[in-house]
Amino acid sequence: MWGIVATMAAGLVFAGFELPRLKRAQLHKERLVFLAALGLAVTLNVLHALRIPLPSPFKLIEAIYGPIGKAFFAVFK
Amino acid sequence: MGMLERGQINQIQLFALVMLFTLGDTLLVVPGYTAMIAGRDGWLSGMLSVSMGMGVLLLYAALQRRNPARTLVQICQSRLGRWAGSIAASIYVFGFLLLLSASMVRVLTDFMSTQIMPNTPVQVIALLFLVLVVRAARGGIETIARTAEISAPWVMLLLGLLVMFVIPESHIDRIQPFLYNGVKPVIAGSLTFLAYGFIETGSFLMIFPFVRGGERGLRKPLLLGGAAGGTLLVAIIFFCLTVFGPGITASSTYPSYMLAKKIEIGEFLQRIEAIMAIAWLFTIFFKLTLSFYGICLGAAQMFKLSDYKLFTFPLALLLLVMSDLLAPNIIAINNSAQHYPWFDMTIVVGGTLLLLAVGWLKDKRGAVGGPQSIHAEGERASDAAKEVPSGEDADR
Repeated sequence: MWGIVATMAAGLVFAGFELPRLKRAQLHKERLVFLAALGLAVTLNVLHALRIPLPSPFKLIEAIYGPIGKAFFAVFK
Repeated sequence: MGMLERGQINQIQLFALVMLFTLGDTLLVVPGYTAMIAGRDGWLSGMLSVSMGMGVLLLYAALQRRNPARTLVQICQSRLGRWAGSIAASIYVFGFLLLLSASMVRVLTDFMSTQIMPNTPVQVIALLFLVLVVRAARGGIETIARTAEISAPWVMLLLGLLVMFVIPESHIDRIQPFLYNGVKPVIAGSLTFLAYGFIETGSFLMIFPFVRGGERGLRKPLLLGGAAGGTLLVAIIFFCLTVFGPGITASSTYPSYMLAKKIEIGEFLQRIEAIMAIAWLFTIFFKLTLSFYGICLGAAQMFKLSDYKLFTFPLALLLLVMSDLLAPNIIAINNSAQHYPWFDMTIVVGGTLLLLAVGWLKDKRGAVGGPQSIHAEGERASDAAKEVPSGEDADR
């Protein structure tokens, strides 16, 4: 539970640090991109803290490159 | 688009960065992998990897030479056009670099939690390290490069001392006879080292444009840095094998850390494996920081933003969760070494070859004087005109 709170707090601190800087520089598109990226990162952290299963990128790599690796070691061993 | 990064680094700094990057996580994890596959000939695998690695580094330098003053994201966009270029660039930035960074965080937390701080939550370790990485990435390429310049001699000294101190413990008969099982295992064993040590230096394709002296000055520091890092690694593999023998080296996750534990000078200088841990924290810091910086810069260039620092905090949070998601445990991480090298190879080496081929074809058509060349020249000129420093007030 405290993981969720900590992530949310971290997200707020980061936003409070970054948004005024971007606003002062009048970088509007950048502010939107920042909020989207931060939202994505915080959401994933919260989902992970709630133990909702998320896909592992290594699974995808294994599915694509696993056979190549196996074939390589079959030839060279 | 304004200039995102106005820093410049010199060739000595590039040398230091390449050396530290090559050592990276490889220093700790690769001796075990190599010994697992190549057995007592693991050090020969290492030498094979280093020589092939030089070829990979030359390939990257060749790509940069044909596409001066551009990061890989910009090369993709100019060579492959808008759509294909964006797809290729996102595979590089959000596939290769992102997974590389997440793996670095994971390898770091696995090491710290199994060897040094078993009772500390891994998130705390990752967080403390990521704070440093974010700070370095926000500082820009000059900050990273100067830090590398300061740390590189220390890493060389610590690893040099490590190698010197274990010489009395090593027995050459533990790796004899050479090539008993033929050359096939030696070739198979070189794969992981080649991928993790040299192919992953493809992260540098995001910072090559900032090297002072342009594309012509890249080759020498690249090759020297790769050779220095590679030689140290081969020496460490060699001494792991001659001190422990191939069996123990293959079955341990961090043989080089174990090697440092063997050091004992008289009765009074013991347990100095911390020097190994310190050296390794430096090297993995640079590997992580460079790929982290590459993601921020690459994402900003892809979305045509005039600030890359805005990605640093969200990315750190993302890496925190991604590093945990990669695999359920350290065994699964170790098993990924069987196929992950192929991912590196197809994405970075394959991508580099593709870009070189497309560039060569376009230039050849341009030399004949087709309409393509005029278009390309015009594009280049307008690009140059746009490179006026702006977004200065965005800095902090």
